[in-house]
Amino acid sequence: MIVGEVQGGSFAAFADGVTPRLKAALVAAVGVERAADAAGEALAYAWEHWESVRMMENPVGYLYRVGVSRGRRWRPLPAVFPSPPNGDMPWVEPGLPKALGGLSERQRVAVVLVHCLDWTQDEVAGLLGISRGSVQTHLERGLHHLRASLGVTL
Amino acid sequence: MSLERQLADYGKHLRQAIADLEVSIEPGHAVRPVPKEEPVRQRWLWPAAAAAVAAVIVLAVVLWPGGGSESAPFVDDGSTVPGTTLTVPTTTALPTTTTAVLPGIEGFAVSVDDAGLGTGGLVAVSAGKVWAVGGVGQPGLIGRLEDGDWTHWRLVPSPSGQVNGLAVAPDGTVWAAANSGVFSFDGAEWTRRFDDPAGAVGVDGGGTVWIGGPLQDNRLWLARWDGESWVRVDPNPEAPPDRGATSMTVLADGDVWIVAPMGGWGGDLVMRYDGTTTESVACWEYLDPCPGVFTEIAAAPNGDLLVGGFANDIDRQYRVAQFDGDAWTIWPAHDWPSAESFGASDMAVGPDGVLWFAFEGGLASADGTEWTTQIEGPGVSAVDVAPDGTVLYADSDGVHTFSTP
Repeated sequence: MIVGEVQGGSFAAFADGVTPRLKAALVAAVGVERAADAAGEALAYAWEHWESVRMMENPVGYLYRVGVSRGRRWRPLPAVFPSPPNGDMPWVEPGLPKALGGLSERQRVAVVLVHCLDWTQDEVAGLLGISRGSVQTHLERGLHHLRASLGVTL
Repeated sequence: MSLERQLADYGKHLRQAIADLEVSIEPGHAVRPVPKEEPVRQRWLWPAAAAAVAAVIVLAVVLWPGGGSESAPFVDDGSTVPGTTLTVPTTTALPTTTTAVLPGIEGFAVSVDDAGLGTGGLVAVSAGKVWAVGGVGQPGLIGRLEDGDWTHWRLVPSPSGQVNGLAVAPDGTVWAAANSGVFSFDGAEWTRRFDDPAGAVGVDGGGTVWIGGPLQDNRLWLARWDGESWVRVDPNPEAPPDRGATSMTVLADGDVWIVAPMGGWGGDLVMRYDGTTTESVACWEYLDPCPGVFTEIAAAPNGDLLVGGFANDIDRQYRVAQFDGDAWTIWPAHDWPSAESFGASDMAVGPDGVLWFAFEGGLASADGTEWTTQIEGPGVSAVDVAPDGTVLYADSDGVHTFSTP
């Protein structure tokens, strides 16, 4: 991490504080393989614009959008999620990681953050800058598509 | 076990993957504010529309919220951008890989697996020569496939080495837009042409190079290369924030078209710069129903704009509309009921006006009235059509020439 002499201490503390949730949100949006790059881009941006970022009420939400936008490629790329190691979690549908990648971005973010990573719907609403009701809609539609993709009813 | 419980248990594995992610922060780039330039519009009239189409490349512009500085980082007095010639050493251990070394940044050689190269995008120069951008897991990778042999370059190290766009000018010069700047390749060496991040690069039929990126207030900036410096044009004051973009096309009439996706099923925007101003063309005004996501644009041989995309994530129906400058014509939609996911998508138009569409559901072609599924199956990520009509596409196994069975 690049830290300047004057403001470095506060930025380092800020980065340490936001990075875990920023990584989680970006994994949900773009998948594990692209999330590290997206988070690096977002934090680099935060460093370059520290004076304004430090004053934001919702820096994680803002940097999340920076990371997602900067992570977009020339062509849309699939979000890739890891499969559990062989033998672990045999009760989890083998197609679940791929099915998550097939959801729309907002459905995937809502489902992964709420159901996989225990975020509240309010937290997801704050991250995405949408209403809690919209988060609920994305959750319902995301679960509906997952069930259809996996051929499950439960 | 319920789906919700499976997701919760899967989350335990995902948490470990997240914790294992290593995030590195690159040093920032110097930015030089400059006076605003008056836009200069040029028109290129092409009696041979097919030649114009062959030189028009579909690009991507990434609109980062708040990215960049208050003004775009251009050369402040219109003087020549200092061209930094890059040394390109050949690594003896990897004879098919070359690494471009930037001054002050160590280059590195990588073991390159050709599989997957091209899934980030293709530019077909001819039937036997294609440029390819690396896909997932291949940041900063550019490859040239010529007569069956690959040559690779990795312009800069990750994460800033991400190549966002690639274009080939009529004179054969290759232009690449990356998070670390804009580079050109003259067939022998790469030269840095722009120091700051650029989301896209495009070349029109006359050989004029365009680049684009975001301003701090989330508006889009565009600039064209006049041979010595970058001339900035007016950004769109109405561009909504937090919008990225996935395609940019320069038509034969000089208009620059850009797609700004919503990032979800909310309706992408299509924007046009006509040489003076940039306007948002809400596609739902012309397309019923409008493509909602993964919208792509391309130039038809007659100079028209083609817009394609998916309307929703339920019926997996792909829709296309054609704009002739005055009115929109809606093409018949194409169904992909067997598609499991959307993943990557790409659209290209051949000199015969046939549209080719690639995505996770396969490869299809359309002539304006009828769709034909050419390949049905997962993983076709990119497609392009060479000037002679040869169709090339990329999947996880590499780049292939399409042949009618």
